Amino acid sequence: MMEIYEKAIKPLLPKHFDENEWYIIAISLIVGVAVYYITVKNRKLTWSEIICISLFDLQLTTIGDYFLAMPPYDFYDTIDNGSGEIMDIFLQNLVYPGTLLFFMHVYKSKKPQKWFFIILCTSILGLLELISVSIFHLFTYKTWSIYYSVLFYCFVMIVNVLFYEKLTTYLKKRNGGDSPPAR
Amino acid sequence: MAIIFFMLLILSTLSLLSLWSLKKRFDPFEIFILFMFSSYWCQNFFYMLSSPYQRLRVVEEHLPFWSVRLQYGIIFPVLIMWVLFVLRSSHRLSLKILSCFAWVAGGVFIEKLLLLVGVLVSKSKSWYPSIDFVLAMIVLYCCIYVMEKLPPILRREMVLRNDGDL
Repeated sequence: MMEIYEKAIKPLLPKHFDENEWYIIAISLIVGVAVYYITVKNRKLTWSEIICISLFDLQLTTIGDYFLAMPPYDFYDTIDNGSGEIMDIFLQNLVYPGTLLFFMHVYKSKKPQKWFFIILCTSILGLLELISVSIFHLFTYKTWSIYYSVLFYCFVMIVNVLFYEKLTTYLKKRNGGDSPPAR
Repeated sequence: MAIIFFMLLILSTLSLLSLWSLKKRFDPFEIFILFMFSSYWCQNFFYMLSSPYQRLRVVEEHLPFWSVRLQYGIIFPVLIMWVLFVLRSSHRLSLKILSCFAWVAGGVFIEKLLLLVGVLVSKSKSWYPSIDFVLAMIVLYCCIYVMEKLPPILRREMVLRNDGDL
């Protein structure tokens, strides 16, 4: 049993269970509740939109994080290890795509002006990263900087809005010009 | 290494173009969703579970990095799509099971090839492909599950109208 723990489970566990792990648990719970709210309690997006946006953002997260945070680029480290650990699963599969899905839910329901929405969401994501880095030490920057993160979030939001617009146009055409019902 | 990268790039391009042929049995929207899903699973499973361990890692250089991205991000998922294509056909059950085994075994074989050519490196005493077999079966099962669950959802929202869409 000890051998299984040492070889299989221990490499996935955090080095020290401290403020950044508690922070990830807290934001995972918040994002989880937000996703539950926008998919069950107050769903405005259709399931087709939810599935597409979620998969799109999961791809962005996978490509982005593995490109930026892994060698040979290795601009920053996440949490304690330079390699994957169990908390990365919550971050990459729930927190990042869940947050973006929530933003797109707001985009559909409130219908804000595009560029205002992009700038607002970029600012929120930048602020959340600043809090994550300075207070909870979630990321360790090597050759990275918060300004690069803001640029990256701006790119992500632009791409998400464009993708959503294309998706809704495509789904409307499939429905013969009507918006699909958000049942 | 450059030759391997360009070979994988050409294979990725050809395999993406081959997705068009799946329209015989899949709606284009289904193809998009299933491809994104399988690509995400292939990348995440093989990366997330290999990076904390020393058993199999990507060589820390640019061309091996992008070669592995092409392999797990495009080629493997497109091959899963073709397995799903066979599963949706009216071919014999034995052919369907063979296609599943071929994907699982082929994936491990390609990993071994990448290990031999120096794209991947193993820092453990030995590399046990049984773990990769299990991971590949989990990925394949999840893709088959989504393939079965997706059409009713899309039909309910009138994205797929009837079986004539296939």
